[in-house]
Amino acid sequence: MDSTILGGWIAAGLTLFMFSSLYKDNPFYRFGEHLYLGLSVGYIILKVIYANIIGGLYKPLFEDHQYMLLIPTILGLSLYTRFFPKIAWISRITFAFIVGYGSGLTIPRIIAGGIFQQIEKIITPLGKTGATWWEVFSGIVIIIGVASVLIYFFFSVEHKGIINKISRVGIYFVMIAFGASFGYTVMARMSLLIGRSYDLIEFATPKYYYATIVLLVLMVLILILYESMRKKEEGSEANA
Amino acid sequence: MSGFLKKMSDLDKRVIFVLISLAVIIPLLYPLFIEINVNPEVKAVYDTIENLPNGSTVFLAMDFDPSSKPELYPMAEAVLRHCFRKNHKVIGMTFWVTGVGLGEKALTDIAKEYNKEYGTDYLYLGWKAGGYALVIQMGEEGIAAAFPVDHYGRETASMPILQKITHLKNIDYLVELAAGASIGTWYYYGKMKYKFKMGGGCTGVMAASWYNLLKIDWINGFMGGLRGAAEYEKLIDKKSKATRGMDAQSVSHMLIIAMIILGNIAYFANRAKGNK
Repeated sequence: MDSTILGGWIAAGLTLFMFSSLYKDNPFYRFGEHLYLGLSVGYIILKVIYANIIGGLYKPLFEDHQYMLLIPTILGLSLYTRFFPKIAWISRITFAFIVGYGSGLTIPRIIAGGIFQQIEKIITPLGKTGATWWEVFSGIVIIIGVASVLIYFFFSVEHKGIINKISRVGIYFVMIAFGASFGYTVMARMSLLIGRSYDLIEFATPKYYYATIVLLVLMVLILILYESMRKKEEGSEANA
Repeated sequence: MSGFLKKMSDLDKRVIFVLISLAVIIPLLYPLFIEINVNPEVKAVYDTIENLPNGSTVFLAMDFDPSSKPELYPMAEAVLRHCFRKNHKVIGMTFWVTGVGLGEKALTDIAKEYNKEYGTDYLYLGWKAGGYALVIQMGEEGIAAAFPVDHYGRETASMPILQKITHLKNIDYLVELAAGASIGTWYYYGKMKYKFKMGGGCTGVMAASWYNLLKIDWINGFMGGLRGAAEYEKLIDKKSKATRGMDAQSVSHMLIIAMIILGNIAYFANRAKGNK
């Protein structure tokens, strides 16, 4: 059997296994779930060992003699001292290094590229020369939205009077944002279903020897058999 | 009528699953060819690639894995077709270890369609750990320093594609296809410092938040979910999986809207009945 066809049968079978949970929990679904988890973890571990430890450390160190790599290696290994309480303090050196360079690199960029840039883009449409009416209107809507949502999440002041009114406006903005996100989420989930359905339809063609249909029929028959056996077992247990 | 509304509010979820399955499968089997309109944000990505001089270099970051394949893989294929049609060079990579195979398949399949040569017209760097450190290394020390070997273990420094394009600042456009937060990594540690143009594509779940990134100029355009991919397919005039999927998408959305309306009518009708 061609490897593509075999792959098609495996893919069709596993997709049907996972979809079977929509009916109810069953051994097919549990098998598929465990297989997925085991395979992906095994794949990631192998990939990381090959790319990081062999490709990124062993070869450069022993073949190219890049001895500078010993420093990050020691720092990395020292993280494992966390498992030995007496020498766990050694790991703090590495953590200090990670936190230090991580913060130094990240904080200024997030402030400049994230916060400041967003504030600048909120304000500029109003002050921009030659801005269209639509740009000005959008700018005003954004300013009202940002301000009201910020006030809604400002809990140091009691939400009464004008603060309450502004925070109510904030709620509407939040609801519209959630609505838009939810709409897109529905689209994304449907896309995943479409993707799998598309493959299942392809695997149901003569090219794949009707893999989807054969496996679906087999699965349904086995599940009916399994259910009747389970019910019989439950019945005999109840009688006993 | 009241019996129907009562049934609606107590509807078994498995009935909904069956209806949704039918709404997806039937249009896939019998396409309706519903017209797709192209949004400006998708057109912006297309225009950027279209207007680059022939032979420019596009960096394609395929930061997704099989869980978001139906949305992002068609985008990768469409962008690659467009790039190769314009004779642009493509450098591909991924931050997602479980997505390595998808990136490779997209690049090699589409390159084969256009008879492109590996190492000269395109290159697949594959995956390497490091995240932002890797982006910084590609910007400071060079792409070949960050990836001394490609996905297949071949030395990259001597490859023709990396002779002119040595660092991130040399690339003409970066397309980030993201299923996670990697857009931040490319922006904060890449675009902010090395000033390359950036566009992209994201899953539907993230699309609403990417309008903000568009507004603040992180990206100049983007494709949102399957619809974005279908729009790009329309622009390059190569209708593929995303376009076919949009019929199913539209029908299933109509069904969901109908069920939301019916469900709400049933809820309020039952509540009104309960109050009497």
